Amino acid sequence: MTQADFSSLYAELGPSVWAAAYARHLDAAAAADVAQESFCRLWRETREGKAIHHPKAWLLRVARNLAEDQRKSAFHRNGTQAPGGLAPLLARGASPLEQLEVDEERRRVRRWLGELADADREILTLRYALDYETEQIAETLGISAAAVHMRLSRARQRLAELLKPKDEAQP
Amino acid sequence: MNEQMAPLTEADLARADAALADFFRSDLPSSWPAAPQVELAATRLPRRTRASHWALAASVALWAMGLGLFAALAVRDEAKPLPDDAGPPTAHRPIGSQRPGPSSKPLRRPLPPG
Repeated sequence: MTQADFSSLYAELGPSVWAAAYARHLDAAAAADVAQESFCRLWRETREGKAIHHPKAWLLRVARNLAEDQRKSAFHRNGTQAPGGLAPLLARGASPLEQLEVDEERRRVRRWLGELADADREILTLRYALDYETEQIAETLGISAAAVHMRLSRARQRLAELLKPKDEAQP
Repeated sequence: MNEQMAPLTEADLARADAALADFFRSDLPSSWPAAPQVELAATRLPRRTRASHWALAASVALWAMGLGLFAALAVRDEAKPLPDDAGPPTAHRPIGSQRPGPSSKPLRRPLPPG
C-alpha cells in the first residue's frame, strides 16, 4: 500500500470509521482520534506484510473496539460531566433564552441517543451526521436497506414521541 | 399519557428529523482531520536505520580492537616464564596432618645444657 492508496482509502472510508467510533459514546473529538488510530494500525499491519482483504470491514471493527475501550475509560476522564458540557460557553449568535432551549433539546436528544443500541446510533450517525442515503448505510454496515429503513423509521418515531409532549404542554 | 397516545403527525416526525440533524451537526468537528502522515514516518525509518548501521559498525570495531588488545596481552603473558618454573617445587604439608609442615628455614637446635 502506497501513501496515495492510503490517502484515497482515508478519504473514502474516514467518515464511516469516524461514525462507527462516534456512535459508541457521542464524542466527536474522541471519535476522530479513534479513526486516526484505526488507519495508523491499518498502515502498520500492511507494512508488516499482513494481508487485509477487506479494509473497510477491518477498519470498522478496529474503530468499534477502540471506541468501546475508550468508552469504558471515559468515566475516568470526564467524571459525570458529559463531553459537551462546556459547549454552551462557546455559543454565539442566539439570545440566551433561545440558546437555552436549543441546548435543552440537544441534551434531551443526547440522553435519548445514549439509551439506544450501538447499531441504531451508528445508523443515525451515518444518516444525520454524514447525510448518507439508506443504500449507502446498508452497504457500509453490511445489512439490508430494508433493515436500515425500519430502524431509522422506528428511531424517528420514538424521538418524535419524546419531543411531542413538550410542544403540546405549551398553551 | 393521552398526549403520548395521540398519533404522530408529519410535523412531529419532521421535528424529530430536525432535532437529530441539529444535534449531529452541532457535534460534528469543525474541520475534518487530515489523513495520518504515515509516509513521513516511513521515510524517517531508513534514516534511523542508516544511523544505527554506523553505530553498529563503530561498536563492532571497538569490540574487535578490545579483543585484539586482550589477545596481544595474553600472548605476552604466555611468553613470560612462570616463577614456579624457575625454582624447585615447594614442599606442601600433607592433607589432614596436624604437624607443621617442613620449612625451608634450618631448624634451631636446642642449646646443650651448661
